[in-house]
Amino acid sequence: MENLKENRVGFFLIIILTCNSCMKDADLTGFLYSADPVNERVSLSLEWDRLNPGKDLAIEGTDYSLLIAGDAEIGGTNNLDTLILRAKKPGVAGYVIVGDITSGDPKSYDIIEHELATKNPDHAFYILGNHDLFFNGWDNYFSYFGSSTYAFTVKTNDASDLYICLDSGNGTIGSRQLEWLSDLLAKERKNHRFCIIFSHVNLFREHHTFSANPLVDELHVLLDLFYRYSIDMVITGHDHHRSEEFFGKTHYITLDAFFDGFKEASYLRLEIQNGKLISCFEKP
Amino acid sequence: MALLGLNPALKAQNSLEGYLDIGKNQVSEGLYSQISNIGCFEKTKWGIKTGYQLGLVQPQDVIFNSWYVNPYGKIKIGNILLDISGEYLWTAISQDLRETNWVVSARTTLNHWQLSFGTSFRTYRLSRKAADDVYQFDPENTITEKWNMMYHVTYALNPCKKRWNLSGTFTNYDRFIIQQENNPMLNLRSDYKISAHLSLYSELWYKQAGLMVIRVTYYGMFLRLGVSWKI
Repeated sequence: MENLKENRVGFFLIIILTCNSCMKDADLTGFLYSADPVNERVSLSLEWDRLNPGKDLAIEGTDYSLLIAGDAEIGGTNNLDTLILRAKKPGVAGYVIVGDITSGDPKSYDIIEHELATKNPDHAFYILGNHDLFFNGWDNYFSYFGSSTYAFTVKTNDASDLYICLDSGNGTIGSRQLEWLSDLLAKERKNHRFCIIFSHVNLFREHHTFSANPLVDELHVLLDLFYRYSIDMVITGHDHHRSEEFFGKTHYITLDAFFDGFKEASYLRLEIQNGKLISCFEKP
Repeated sequence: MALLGLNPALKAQNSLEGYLDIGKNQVSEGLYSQISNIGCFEKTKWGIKTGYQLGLVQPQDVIFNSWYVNPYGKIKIGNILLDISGEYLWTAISQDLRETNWVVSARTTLNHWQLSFGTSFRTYRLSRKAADDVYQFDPENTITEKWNMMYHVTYALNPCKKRWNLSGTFTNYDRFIIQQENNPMLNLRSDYKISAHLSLYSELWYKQAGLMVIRVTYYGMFLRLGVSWKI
């Protein structure tokens, strides 16, 4: 009986310690409220976009590639350094990190600032994830990266491709961003060859996880929107576990995590070759 | 969800139920409203429920939103009466997109508590017409989410035989929508029996997003006004 009691206590302690180590960078106040809800962030992002236009890229020739990583969760910067170096190679237009750039620790932003200042990436695009919002992280994100709701185009000699970056750090894109996205697709989709959407929170549950997805009501609206506007790819992270699904006209990709020390770390290389859109995973 | 018609203690009972939902959420583009009707045919040891939902005001370009059929059997384990049920739920996301769910669940009603636990297999697919029109990467062109956990916990102030009642529910599903297991919803409900056969009820539902990304934010609310008639 005494052994049983001791085992129970030990088991309880192991659970507490495990949870504690998993959650060491988590801001647990987020179980109750979020200091910067998505609609407010989107308003700030759209204002930032208005004041800071010019994210579009122009490529000589017809082919290019783009590197996309998710969940870099800095801390460590080895994988990020590799991504920056590979994004500087000829034919690569730039890189995108689809959220959880930081682990949540506010010091991460200092590390990133130093890293970007020394490595000087050519064309980098960022959106925020839920970790980036921990400990009032939006203020840091906004001051370092600016908007998390924006679009950019890549123009080649023969076509233009539209890339749309969404803020889903609260597990919803919110009404303001949905309105912006719907308007953008209605006005711009027809003017571009490929349309690719980046967001942090993965849409589908390919396997069991406690991690959140958009509510089913929202998923319905997004699936319909992506179907009606023939979105070619939707690329997300968050789940840390690679998966690919095809539905309607759209290829849905969830990325592996990209942080240092993650055994399965990878990024996605998006290739536009001979007018075709191709994707493959690469190890850092 | 009606307490009436779900109570396994009730014997051979048929019922009709209708309700109106009015609400607003992050994707509804203003107020939305939907009406739903549910019929229940029940014998001593088994029953079957079926229902449909129509959209009155909503952004989706469909009117017939959903229907379901839910046969169930009543069994007794010790002193506990259980409804064991299967369900098929069909939903039109838009004119071209569908969601279907196969559900297995168990439910029991105690004096003050109503508990339900189950699992669903969710499939997103194209309508047959749309599937013919689309170039398909995947010949099935579907996405399936397996073993989605379903839970429903209600605490009622009074036993359900009382004339009036107040209850609160924590759940991840409603009649015509099953959220993922990590997106719980809350509702407060009041019941009032006008007569032995006729009851009125109202429910206030609250939805949040981001609980399991530890960034909770308001998602939406809706009010449900319903009437239930025991035949």
